[in-house]
Formats: sequence, C-alpha cells, structure tokens
Amino acid sequence: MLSDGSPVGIAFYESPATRVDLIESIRIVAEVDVTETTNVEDAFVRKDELLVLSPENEVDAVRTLDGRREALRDRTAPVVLLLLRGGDAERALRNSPSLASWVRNAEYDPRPAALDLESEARRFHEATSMTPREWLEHWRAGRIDDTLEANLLYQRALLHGDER
Amino acid sequence: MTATQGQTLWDELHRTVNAAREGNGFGIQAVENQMAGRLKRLAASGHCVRHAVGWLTKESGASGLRVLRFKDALDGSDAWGNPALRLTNLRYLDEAVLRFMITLSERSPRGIRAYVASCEGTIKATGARWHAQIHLTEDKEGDGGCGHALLHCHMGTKDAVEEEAKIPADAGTKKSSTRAFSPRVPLPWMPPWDAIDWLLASVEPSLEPAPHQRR
Repeated sequence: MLSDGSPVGIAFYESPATRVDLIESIRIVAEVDVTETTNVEDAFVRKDELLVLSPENEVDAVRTLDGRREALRDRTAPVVLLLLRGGDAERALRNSPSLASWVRNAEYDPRPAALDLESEARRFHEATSMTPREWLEHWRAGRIDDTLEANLLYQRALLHGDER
Repeated sequence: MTATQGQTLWDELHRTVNAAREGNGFGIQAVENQMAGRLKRLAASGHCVRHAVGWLTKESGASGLRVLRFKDALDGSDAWGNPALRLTNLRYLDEAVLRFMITLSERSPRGIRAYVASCEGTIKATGARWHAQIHLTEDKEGDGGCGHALLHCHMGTKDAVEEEAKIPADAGTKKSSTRAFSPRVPLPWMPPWDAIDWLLASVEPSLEPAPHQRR
C-alpha cells in the first residue's frame, strides 16, 4: 500500500478497538515517520508527511478526498485513510469512482487470509497419515513426542476446529 | 510465585500461565505488531534480512482461531529442513535460524492458545549444533506439571537436535518408535515476542531488551 505510488491509500479496521493496532502496524511497516491526524484538510496541506488520517466522520472524509482529488496529485508522501470495514464510509468509497480508482491497488486489509481447510486437511493427512482430529487425540493421549515439528503440527491441527 | 495450601508450585505455575495468556490484548493484529517490531529491530541491527517483516503471514482457521507465522519462502532452514529465518552476525552462533508459530483465539476464551519459538545454530566455540525451543500448549501434557510445564523450553546440543529431527511427527503412534530424551525447563508466563527476545538475547547479547544499569 505504501509503496504503490498512489497519493492516497486505504486501510480497513474491524472495530474501533483494533484501530490503534492498525495505526501501530502502519508505523512499524513505514520506513519514515508517521503523522496521525483526524483533520482531512491536512491531506491538502501536509504533503510531504506520511499521514495516517482517522477522521471522526469517515464518510465526509471520503467525499472530500474524492471531490478534491486533483489537489492531492503533488503529494510526495501518501495519506492513509482509515475506514471501518463494512461501514458507511466503505460504501461511500465504492460510490466515489475517481477516488476508488486511485486506491484500487493501495488498499490494505489486515484480516488474516482464510485457510482452505479442505486442502489443508489433505496436506495434513499426507504428512501424518491421520486427520487433524485423530492426530489431536493421539497428541492429547501423550502418544506423540514433544518435538518442535509435532508442536507445529499441533497448531495446524487446532486450526481445523477443536471439539474437545 | 508461592503455592497456596494443597497446591504444589507446579499447580500454581500452570494456573498463572493459563490466566496470563487470556485477554483482549492478544488479537491477531496486536500480536503481529509485536512480532513485526522484533523483526524490524533485528533487521536494523544487521542480524536478518531487511524485509523479514514482509515474511510474516497470518491465517484464519475454524472457530475463531488465527495463526501467525513466517511464510514458507524464507532464506534458511532448520534441522527438520523446514523454512526458517536466517540469523547473521551473532556473537555465539553461526548458521543460525529462527522459527515461530502462534495460534490464538479471537473468540471466547480469547488469548494465546499455543505457540512455538525456536532458535538453532552452530556454536562458534565448539562447532556443535545447538537449539532452544519454547513450547506453549493449551492444556496439561505429559505426566505432570513439573516435568512438563505448560510453558517450557527444550535446550540442547548436536545429538539432541539431530536425533529429535529424525523422529517423524507420528512416531509416538507407532510401536517401534524411539522416544526423544529432551528434558523441559519450566518457564513462567511470557508472551511469544518476549520468548523471542529471550532467545535472541541468549545468542546475541547486544539484543538484550532489558540491559542492567550499572553504576
């Protein structure tokens, strides 16, 4: 997202409680100092700073950035707009074609990728000759050595659901 | 930590570790940030490649379980031949690698269900292969809370790591299996990023996260 070259990026958070984690994540990944702001006008003024914009009114921020997009062209560092996943502002973004086209390749979704549990289970069986559930039964019965490899397999088995 | 009446020290250790690993602070993004921060510092001090943070990956499984680990394409491998992060310029080890995997639940009970953090390498002074592995499992394993504490560390040199690597993951279910002798050092609670700190400070003193203020 930060290396895309677009003057605007979007990062989605799942809940207000995880927004702070998302900001911290951007800070860690960025190679330069990050400035946090709630004021959308900063996007048009502080053009040389990597801005993380978490506005109080996200819908208004989307509309402002969309309506004045041309004034962002000469930004030398991106502004990253934080939006609530599934919120009104995400819908507003989809209805703002000019901004949406800019951020198409500059969106960051921190959600973990969903495992394909069926093919994972097949791979697990190839490695152990057991289903994840069978393997967990053996593990819990103390029939599998407490090795590094087994502890990693244990975590892979857990991901298939744990019905103990 | 003091055991209360009727409880052994090991019961109390189990209870405190179990209590400490639960909580809202262990969401996947927060955990990723902690690990990314360690990797960034490690890279900045020249002990791993600069883009190591980009090798973190997180996945979502059933029942609200999440896992954070390294991607499979890495620049090193461990004694099992599995991908691992190559560590360089360490005071005590050559050919060193780091691995970890963290499983946490974002549904009740929230918290860290299991983790593994491991470091291995060749001791410069002796040429022996050395390893340390920290394991956290979700519940009582083995014969008891003393010999097999919930959070524990295996540490050893060449024979132990090589012999253990030969044991297949399902060895215990086969009649002819050879069980590894690998004693466990019981540990107080530490989240996986602090476990990584401990492993790294052990093999490279300049990575000490809590240096003494000497007068």
